[in-house]
Amino acid sequence: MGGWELFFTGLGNVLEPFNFTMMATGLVIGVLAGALPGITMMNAIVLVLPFTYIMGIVPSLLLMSGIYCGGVFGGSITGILFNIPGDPMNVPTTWEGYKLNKKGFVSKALGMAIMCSAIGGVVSGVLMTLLSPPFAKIALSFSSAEYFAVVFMGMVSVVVIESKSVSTAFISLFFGMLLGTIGIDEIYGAPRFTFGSRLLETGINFTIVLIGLFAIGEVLEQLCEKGKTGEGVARLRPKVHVPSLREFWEIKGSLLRGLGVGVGMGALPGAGATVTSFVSYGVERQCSKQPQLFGTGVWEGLVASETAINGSTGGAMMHLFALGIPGSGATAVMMGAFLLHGIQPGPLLFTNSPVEVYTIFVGFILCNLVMIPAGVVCSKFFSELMRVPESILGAFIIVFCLLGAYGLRNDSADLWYMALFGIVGYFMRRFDLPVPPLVLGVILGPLAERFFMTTMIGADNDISVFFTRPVSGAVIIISLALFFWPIVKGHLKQRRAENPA
Amino acid sequence: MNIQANQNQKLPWAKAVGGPVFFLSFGLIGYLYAQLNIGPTPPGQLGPAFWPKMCLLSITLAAAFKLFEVLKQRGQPAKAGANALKAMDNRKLALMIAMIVLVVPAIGFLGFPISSVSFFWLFMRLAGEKKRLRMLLISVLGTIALLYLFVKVVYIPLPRGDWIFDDITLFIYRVLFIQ
Amino acid sequence: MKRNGLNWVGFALALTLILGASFAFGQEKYPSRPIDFICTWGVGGGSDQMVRVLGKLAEPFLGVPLPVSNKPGASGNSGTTDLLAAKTDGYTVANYIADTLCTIPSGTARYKLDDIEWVVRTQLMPSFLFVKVDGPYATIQDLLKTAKENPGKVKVGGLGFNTIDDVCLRFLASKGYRMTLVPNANPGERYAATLGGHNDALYEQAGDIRQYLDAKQLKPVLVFSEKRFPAFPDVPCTKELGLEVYLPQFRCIIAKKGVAPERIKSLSDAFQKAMQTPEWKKFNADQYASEDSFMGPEQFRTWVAGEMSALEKFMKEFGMIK
Repeated sequence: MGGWELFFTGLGNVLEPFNFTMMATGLVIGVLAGALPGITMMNAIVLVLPFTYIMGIVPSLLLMSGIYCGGVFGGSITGILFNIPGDPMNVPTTWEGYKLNKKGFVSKALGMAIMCSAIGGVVSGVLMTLLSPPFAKIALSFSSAEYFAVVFMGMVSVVVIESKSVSTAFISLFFGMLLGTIGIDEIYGAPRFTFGSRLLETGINFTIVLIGLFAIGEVLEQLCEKGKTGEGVARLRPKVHVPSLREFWEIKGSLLRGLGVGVGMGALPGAGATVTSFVSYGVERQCSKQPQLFGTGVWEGLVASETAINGSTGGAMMHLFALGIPGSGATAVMMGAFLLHGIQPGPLLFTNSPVEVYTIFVGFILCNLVMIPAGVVCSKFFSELMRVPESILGAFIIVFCLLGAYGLRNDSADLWYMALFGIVGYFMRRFDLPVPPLVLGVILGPLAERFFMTTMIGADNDISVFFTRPVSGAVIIISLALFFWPIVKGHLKQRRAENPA
Repeated sequence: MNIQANQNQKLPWAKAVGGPVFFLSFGLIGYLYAQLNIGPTPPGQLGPAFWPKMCLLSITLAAAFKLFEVLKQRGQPAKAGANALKAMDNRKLALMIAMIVLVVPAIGFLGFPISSVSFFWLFMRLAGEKKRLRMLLISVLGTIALLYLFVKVVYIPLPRGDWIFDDITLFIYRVLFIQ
Repeated sequence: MKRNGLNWVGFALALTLILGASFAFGQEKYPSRPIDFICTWGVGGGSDQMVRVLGKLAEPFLGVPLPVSNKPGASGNSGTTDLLAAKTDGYTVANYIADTLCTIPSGTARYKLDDIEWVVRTQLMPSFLFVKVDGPYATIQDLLKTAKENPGKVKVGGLGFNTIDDVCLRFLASKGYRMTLVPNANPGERYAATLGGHNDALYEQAGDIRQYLDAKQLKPVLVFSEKRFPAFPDVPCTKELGLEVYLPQFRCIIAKKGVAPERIKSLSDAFQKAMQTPEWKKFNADQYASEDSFMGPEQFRTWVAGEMSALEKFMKEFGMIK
């Protein structure tokens, strides 16, 4: 069968009522799981596994693709509404989205986030359909040096984003990376900073740091404000306002840059959507005419990062399908699910199960379109929660965080970490220490270490390998340029002002 | 936090220097600890201590740079509105923090269901909720809903507690047809 | 105040009721409620698949479900520690693999071999060295020759230092074939490094890289075993090359020491029956596990002890432990 024939067979499969229902169900489950702090996409995929045994292969795969697409978007809803990102990749969206919410643009912020995610997802889905087969060869030429360069770029972006003080951002980032080294080292099996305690040996999971720092800190700050009675005035019921074409035209630059960063970085292996989201936000800030306004609620930041996140999903799926190498926790779970259904992602997938592959491709593109209504419905549902009195909502958020922390690894040690980071998060806010570099340090630190050490062992400790390999060299130079650009720009401006020739 | 705010007005400089000095010494002490305690480093390799040492050294350098910045700006007036913090109810804050810390061992000992009901009740009370019936209903029904979601649907075996509380939790599960 | 008093009376009543009921439930047949199945590795990996398939197949024989909870971390020791902290009532079981066993002699485990009740061995799979099909090395002789002439030039992807992978490579080094272990705990990246030619070889079990074997991208050149593996009759084994190192990967089910023997027997019987189903046989064959994978409690305990002393002997010999 030719490509188009397969495409239409796939389309036919997806549009079958049962399959379509499964896809939509998956989307809703995914958005809900992504939005609830403490319930991850992984939980959701594991949750539906038993049901997929009963169904056929195609509906199960569509169900899981739906969860994946929805889950990537879901965290933005709670980010915009409550300042609690559901996943690290939603942090940049949260910065701008929550501020926009406070400024009174909550409906438009939700609508914009949904539309941008959908656009990013559709574009990357189409590219994935066209490019997957030739992609496998290129992807294999990347080695751990390239992986390291990508992670390095993510870390540079988060420092760039922190406008107040670069040195404070560095302290926060490296402190996060240090937290990431706690536990049994995975390369040598050596205990690091464990002080002989079992609680420390398991290491610190980044999701816990994220939820603790953001969610619990936020609840404490909201509830303990002086003069609060807790009865809570019922707040307005926000609507979801889908932006008009004219509104899109105004942000076309950010949209395109977000797409470019998302699709480009999605093709590189490494840390996936999280790095992409931070890099796109950093790039957007450096391109902007008013970078000082970032973090106070500007549309560009929200649009770029939201488009980039979903723009990178196609790349992650390509890695899974063409190479059999999952790029993130959620795709790893999906791969496990594929295997349990007797489908082996990897080089032979396109020859052995072409119909299934194209069904997923088409399903993936349609998922992103169906996400618009699904996202609106789910956003409305969560918006209702804004009318719940703060005292009740706060209690639920904290219990959810604790449950989610426990559920990640079924470990009571994580409950302690959750409580600890909740309190630390509150005080970091009070003392004006930037939280995002710390979170990103915990996430990317262990990855950076693994890639760096592996590269060094393979290259006999010759550090120049990061610059002599073309792709890794290029990415590192772009990162450095991203970092030094404002300084150069400021310098040029000054010179122009001095010599008005 | 009020006391803190007053101190800020009196000693802005001490506060500005305090942070960097803390991280500077933290980095140095940590570096020493890593140097002495993490290992062994196999010959010809960077070894397990390399990465944490790199992080600690970078913290030290960044803190030194920050200190330099602060000292350079000494005498200049602080930017107005940089610390526009909301006034906080400190008693409430301390109690909430205590609750969040105490609920962790409580979950381990009493099991999730009992701890959760008590936590919901106390926390809402503390947050200012006054209607008792509503609080009771939310605590109990909320816990039951979470139990179903986590134990029954997502298969996360929540802590059942120690001693007789293990049996009590199991009994609660049976009554609710969770297990 | 009055309401508070009432609350207390209610609480006391409920407590008495619950206590009474729980004692009534005390004497019961085993198993009468779901058995928690801890998977000591992450979702989606080989251990996870095994736990989920076996759990599902054993359910009809035990009469209760075995809900799986993943508890990854510290080479499988996070989950094992949890198992050992649970009650000795037989309502918690876990899986265990050779990589976790390696942490007992290396000193990172906090328990001893005897703290564990070894229920059944479910899978036994020898490890292989794989190379790229269109790469510079065609046979094990090519690899060994290069390793002998240029010590350290051959790069082999493996899990990490102080693991079984490391022990096997150090054994080869002690025979004059020194290769460099490039550690990467992430399996996907490890495979990609060999597929992309960044590493020369890969130390792995065949089941985990089946897709690359089927696609003729990787091929085995050496099996660490006393005899050749039936699925790859042309691949030499270590014994015939005079290299006496085997240390196969195995997966098994464990319980905490002290669980009543009849309960261990119910468990091992149920798992044995589950392993006779055609579904399991297919799963096992797909994973390239040996046909004689099953081993019951008594035999298995001795076998594990033997594996561990072999590991310990090697690690002492190569100076990995004192």
